[in-house]
Amino acid sequence: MKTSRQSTKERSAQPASDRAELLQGTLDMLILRTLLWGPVHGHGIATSIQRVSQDMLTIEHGSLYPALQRLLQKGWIAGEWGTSENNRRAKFYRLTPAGRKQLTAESSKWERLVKAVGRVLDPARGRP
Amino acid sequence: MREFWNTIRAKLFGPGSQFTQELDDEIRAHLQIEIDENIATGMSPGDARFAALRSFGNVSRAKESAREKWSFAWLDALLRDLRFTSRMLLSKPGFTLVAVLTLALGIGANAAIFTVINTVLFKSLPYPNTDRLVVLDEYKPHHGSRTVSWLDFKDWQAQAKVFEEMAAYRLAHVTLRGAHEPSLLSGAEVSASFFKLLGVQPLMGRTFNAADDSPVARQSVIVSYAFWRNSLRGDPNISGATLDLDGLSYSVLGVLPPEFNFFDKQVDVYLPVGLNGNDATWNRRGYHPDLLVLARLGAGFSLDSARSEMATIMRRLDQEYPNSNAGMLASVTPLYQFRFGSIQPLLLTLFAAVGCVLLIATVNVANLLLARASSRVKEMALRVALGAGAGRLIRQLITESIALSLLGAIVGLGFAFAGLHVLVGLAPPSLPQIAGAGIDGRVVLFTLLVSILTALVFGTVPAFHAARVDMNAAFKENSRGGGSGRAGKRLRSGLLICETAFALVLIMAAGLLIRSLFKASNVDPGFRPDNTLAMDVMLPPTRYTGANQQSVFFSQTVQRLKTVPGVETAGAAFCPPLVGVCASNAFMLADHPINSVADLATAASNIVVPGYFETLKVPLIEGRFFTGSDAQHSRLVAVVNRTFARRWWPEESAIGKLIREGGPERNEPYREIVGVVGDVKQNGMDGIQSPEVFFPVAQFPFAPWDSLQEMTLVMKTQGEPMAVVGAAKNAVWALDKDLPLTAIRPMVDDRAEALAARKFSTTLLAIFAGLALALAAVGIYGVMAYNVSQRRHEIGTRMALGAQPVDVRKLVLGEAALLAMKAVVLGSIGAWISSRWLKSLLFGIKAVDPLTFFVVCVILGIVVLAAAYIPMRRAIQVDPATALRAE
Repeated sequence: MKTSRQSTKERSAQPASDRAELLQGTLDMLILRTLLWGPVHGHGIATSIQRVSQDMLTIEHGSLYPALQRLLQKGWIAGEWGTSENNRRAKFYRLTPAGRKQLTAESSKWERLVKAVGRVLDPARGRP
Repeated sequence: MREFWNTIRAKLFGPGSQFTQELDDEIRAHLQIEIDENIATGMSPGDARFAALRSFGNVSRAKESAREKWSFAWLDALLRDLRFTSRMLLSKPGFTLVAVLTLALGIGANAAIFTVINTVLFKSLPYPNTDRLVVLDEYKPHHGSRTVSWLDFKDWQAQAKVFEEMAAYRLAHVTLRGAHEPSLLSGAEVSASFFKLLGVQPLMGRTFNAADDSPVARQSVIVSYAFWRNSLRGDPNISGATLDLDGLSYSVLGVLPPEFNFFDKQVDVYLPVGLNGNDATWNRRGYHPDLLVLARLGAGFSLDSARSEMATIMRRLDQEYPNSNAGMLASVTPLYQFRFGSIQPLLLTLFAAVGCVLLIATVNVANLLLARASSRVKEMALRVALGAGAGRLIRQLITESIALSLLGAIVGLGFAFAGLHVLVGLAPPSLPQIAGAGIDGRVVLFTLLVSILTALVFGTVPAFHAARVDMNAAFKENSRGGGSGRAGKRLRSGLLICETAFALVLIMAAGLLIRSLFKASNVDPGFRPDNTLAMDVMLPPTRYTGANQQSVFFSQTVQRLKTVPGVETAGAAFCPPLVGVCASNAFMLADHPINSVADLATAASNIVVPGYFETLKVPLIEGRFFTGSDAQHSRLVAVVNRTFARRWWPEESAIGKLIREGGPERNEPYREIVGVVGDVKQNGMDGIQSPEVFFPVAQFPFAPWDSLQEMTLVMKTQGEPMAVVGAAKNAVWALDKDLPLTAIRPMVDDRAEALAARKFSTTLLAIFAGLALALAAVGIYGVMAYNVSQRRHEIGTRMALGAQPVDVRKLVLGEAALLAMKAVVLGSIGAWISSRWLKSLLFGIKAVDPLTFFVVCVILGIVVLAAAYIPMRRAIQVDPATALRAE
């Protein structure tokens, strides 16, 4: 809880240029990754992404919901109503086997992209 | 179970709401969690809430985005569109009623005509591989169809490789003798392969096999379903029972399925044609017993290859048997064309006519929608401002159009159903099987397609028009919307001119047909049908075998009829006027030597019993009629009609000239022409007048006839013709009680029947033309009224500046007149183009008849001005003060 309080304050101090612009596919990947550790509800996914990225990635919580719907349609996640920590009724999402496979594929794609961009930015670094 | 229904109901009627509900709950829960956390860190509830909402972002946008990604979003949108559409249509009942009725008229007329076409064309040929079936016939150029001779048919079967299977067939009449009075059955003689060619399976029993089709086989018969049900009382053990046909015992082999009907008329019994195989006359190659041949093209063979092979075979037969086959050719016609070639022009014309009516209806509805679109501009602009894309708007509008169209289609099908009853009642017997016309699945499918197509046509233009909304202009207070812009007005006028032009074309066609009908009715049939009774008598070949027997019978019958009280004179003919089918023969004239077959005189041949001409009051032009002295062993005589006489002896009298039947290769004795009579119409009232040669029955037999089996007896009565029927029948039966007598009618009925088909098509076309004109008038009225209401401000200004009512009148009527003139120009082009197809249906009048055209233009002008009348009055009544103030 304390962290959240801090993050609220720190969030507003962060310059906008440092906030990475999240592409749609990237958001999907982040969600899938978050669900790797078990079912989470919508709010939990949002705070998790923020926390794990150490506040580098802030997203509007609202933009999660279209993404979740999209992932539901593709069959990579499944949703179920349940009870949250503070006894609120919330919809929990979990990864499906197909989603798990997708995550692996997306992760490797991401890694290759990062490597490629890195090479362009600093040709010397990538040399074996 | 309940859950199942609930799920279905939820899925169909509440998909959106369930999804929305759940999403709401979820997001609410999300926010609540965030708020709880914020409170836990020490924020006040109000601040906690603000912070939560801020970090969430735009809630509505999130919901909308999520909803869009949802898989049933399209269904949800459709249902919402439909709900909105129904609300909108119900809120403007006047508009909806007019639009639906207009569409119903257009679509309904199309459905009705399609039903007829479906029944007549599609249902009538339900055989497999219809496109491979052909009909073969023999003919001589200039002499017409000869039908096929038995020996030629056998040679064809042996020699033609191009056909898989061949079957000979012909219609015949047989007398059924049973407990009651002898009845004449309509029968057909067919080869064994006939039913196989048509892919017909019997309902009961079996069809013919090769053994049944032989002259030495035991006589067998196959009965039709209707005959079995009605006359044989649906006896389930009918196979093996016997029927007395023409005095011989036939064993029933089977019953055909109910829907089988190859011939134009109802056929009761089918006999094997091969039973005639040992008949001496049939085995003469030159004898053509009215056979036609049905054949199926073998796989991979084309119609052209069939035709060339038949040409080769006929050339061979010509050389081998010059006496009988000189100059004889074979025709190969696809079955479809053979059956329907003659009524195709009529059906196509009717289809084009209802197509025009539908187009006019479509244009009217498009105009209606355009007018409405301008009043909905604010609504559209609001929706665009709230975020709807152009696609969304167009989708909504197209949904409205399709809904309107489907409503119109349902009402239209109702109209068609009602109209069909009337149509079928009016139809003449010459249109085959129209009685079975009914709305079936194919018609409904067609109607559905037509209505969707119509919706797309009339809906797209207004939809695109409305979607291009200039929001700025739309929200201005005194704007009158996009529909009144110059482009919109031009579009509407253009559409109006088009539909009026179409109406003009239709009315022109109807006018021409009406005049043709009139001219045809006024044609002099060449005889006097009033107070005349006609009766057909048929002699069974088994009992009247000799030609002598036959001619004596007919002469005696006529003699007896003359003595019947109430009968003034009597006669008989083989080929009665108007409805008879005369044989066509070639003749040689003693004083006209010929160089080639083409020079031979051709004429219709008729055999009459003396008294015929007097009974029908056929005028005698020269010489004399036949008398009793023209007997078997007297001098051979003939009578010709005026056309024949004029054709060959234009300057001199035909009396005393010698003619004989046949070409130079034949050897018939010459006959002397003793009389020239007036022309009698033999090919219907509107057919061409053929030359005709008459022979006295007493001098029968003579080539080409070996056997005279039927004649039409005619009697001139003192009073009402039908009153002497009983006595006349008894007179005939006194000579032979087993003879069936058919087609007993007053001869005026023949006259009506000869015109029936023409009357039918003319009536239909006139109805459609009237419909088109009415729709066009409604359309003009609507657009003019709308224009006037749009120009109130302008008219008010003009009047305020000094314009008189007469000036306003000129303004409105001038617009209408200009429209009419443009429509006339366009319409005349259309009429000229369509005149080519119309030609075959006209009689006695050219397709570009100026008088008809003038009258039609005048009618159109009157209608246009009448339609513009009320709007014009409204325009005059515009009060300048109110009009100017109402900004």
